[in-house]
Amino acid sequence: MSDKPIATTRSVTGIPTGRLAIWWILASEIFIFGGLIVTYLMFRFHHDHWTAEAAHTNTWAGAINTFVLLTSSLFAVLAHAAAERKDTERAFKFLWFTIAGAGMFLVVKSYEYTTEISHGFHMFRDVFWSFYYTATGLHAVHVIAGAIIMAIVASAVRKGKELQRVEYIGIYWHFVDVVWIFLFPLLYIAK
Amino acid sequence: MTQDHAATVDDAHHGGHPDSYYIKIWAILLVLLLISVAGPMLENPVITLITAFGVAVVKAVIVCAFFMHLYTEKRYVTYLLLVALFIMAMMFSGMAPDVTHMEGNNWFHVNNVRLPPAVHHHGEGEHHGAETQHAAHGQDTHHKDMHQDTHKKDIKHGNAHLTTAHQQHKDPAQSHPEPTATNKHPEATPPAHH
Repeated sequence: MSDKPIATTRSVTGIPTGRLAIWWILASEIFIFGGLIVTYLMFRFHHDHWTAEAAHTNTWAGAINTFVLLTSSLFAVLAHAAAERKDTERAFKFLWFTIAGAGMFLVVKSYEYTTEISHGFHMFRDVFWSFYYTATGLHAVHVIAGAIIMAIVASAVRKGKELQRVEYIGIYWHFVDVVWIFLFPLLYIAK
Repeated sequence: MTQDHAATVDDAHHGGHPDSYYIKIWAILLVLLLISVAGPMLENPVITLITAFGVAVVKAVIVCAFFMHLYTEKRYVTYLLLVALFIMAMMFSGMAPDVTHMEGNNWFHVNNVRLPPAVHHHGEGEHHGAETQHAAHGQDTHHKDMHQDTHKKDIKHGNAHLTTAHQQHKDPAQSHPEPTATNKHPEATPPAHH
């Protein structure tokens, strides 16, 4: 046995304990985002005027961000595939491509927020906008956290260490992508 | 992957696909994204619903299965996530009746109550208005008991009047009432009176 933490050196469940931990995190995230989305739906069914409010969200910005996140997910899985082949340089490169995707997503989101707020569509205009800013803001926090963790993982990967973490952060990143896949039609398409 | 993993963990085929395999999946996801965006252009609500939410589910399943490798992951992980989804759905289905049914004798919008002129005429209306506000803040105890008879009468009037208030509430886009002492939070659903 090495001097690594026990979570990275044993498995009693048939999969690495670190990966199992990621799945548990995602199970808890289901309650966070799932709860928010279901609450949004329940309110939306009872407030017809939310359709008129949703008409002010920028569909093209949402679509561009969906494209950016899907592409960053591709980069994340390519980084994972490279890590599986022990190609640390390629894994490092694709991790940073994914981080760039996160940056691009946040730039588009910032543009959206700025435009909306400057036109009076702020958080306290209507409960629809409260949901909009809460859901997309919480998602953006996850994007920022993912990008920071990915940068930390990337620095270790470049040294050839902890390659299994490329997969773990990738799974998390794909989940962030999945959440956006549902937020996009809810907030940008259904008008 | 650490050497210890290789000895203890069944990780066969986990992420071991060529890059072209993932690029093809990404291309499929982009086609689905285009369908999501193009759907509303047909201006058919049913088609929009399918292209928006039906396609979103397909996209999510593809990402989970092929990017997150759930299809090669141990089956119990899928069950773990499905159980989380199920428990969340159960919690909300338990809460949904309160949120989605805004009608009934024991449930009305105190904030939307408009006192009938007749009550104002007898000088009881203002009293009831103040009481309603107290109740909304959970502070109505002694005051309520002292004037129980008056309160019951007001509720009777109020319920009849609430029908109108509720109808107004159903289409708030057309009627945005100005905030008043009893209508500061149109979205709030305060506790029911008995």
